[in-house]
Amino acid sequence: MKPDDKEIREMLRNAMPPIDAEPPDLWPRMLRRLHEGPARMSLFDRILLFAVSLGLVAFPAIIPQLLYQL
Amino acid sequence: MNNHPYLRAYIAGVAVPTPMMLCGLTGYIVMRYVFNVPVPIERAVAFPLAVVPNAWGLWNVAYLAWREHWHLPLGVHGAILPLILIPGGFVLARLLGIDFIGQNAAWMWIAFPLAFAIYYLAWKYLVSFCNHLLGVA
Repeated sequence: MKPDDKEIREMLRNAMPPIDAEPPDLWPRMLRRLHEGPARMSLFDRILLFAVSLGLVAFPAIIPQLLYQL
Repeated sequence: MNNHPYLRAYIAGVAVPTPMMLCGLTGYIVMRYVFNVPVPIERAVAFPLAVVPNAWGLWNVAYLAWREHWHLPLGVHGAILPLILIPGGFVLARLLGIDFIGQNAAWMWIAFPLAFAIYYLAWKYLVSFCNHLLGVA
C-alpha cells in the first residue's frame, strides 16, 4: 500500500461515522422543544380568533358543515 | 435530523387534524344516536376521516417542497387548503347523497371566510408547532 492510500483511507474513516454507531437520542431534543412554550398570538390573530368565535355563535347551523368539510 | 424530511412533514401535518377528527366524530355520534338527528353517519364520515387528515399531511409536504420557490408564510399556505377541501367535500356529499351538506350550497358563502380564518390560525400555530417539534421547518 502506498503512503498516499493510507492517508486517504484514514481521511475517509474520519469523515464517515461508523455503521454500528448508536443513533442519536432524539427524545431530549423533543423535550427541549416542548418546553420552549407556545408562540405568542399577535393582535391580528386574536381579533381573527374572536371573529371566528363570533361567526360560529351567530351561525351555529354552520358547525356540522364545517366539521364535515374540515 | 436530515432524514426523510417529507415523511416528517406528512406526520406533522396529519398530527393536527387527527385528534380533532375524534372530537368531530364524537359530536356526530352524539347527534345521531343520542339526539336522533337523521345524519347518514356511515356515509358522512368518509370525507372527514379519510380525506381531510391525508390532505393536511400532503399539504404540509407541499409546503416543504415549495417553500424555496413560493416564500409563503405557513398560515397563508394552510388557508389555501379549504379552496380544495370545501368544493371536494361538497361534490362528494352530493355523490353520496348526504343531504345536510349536498342540498344546500348557500352556507358555503359563510363557510369559506370562517374556514380561511380557522385554517390560517391552525396552520400558523398548531402545524407550525408540530413542524418545529419534528425539525421540519
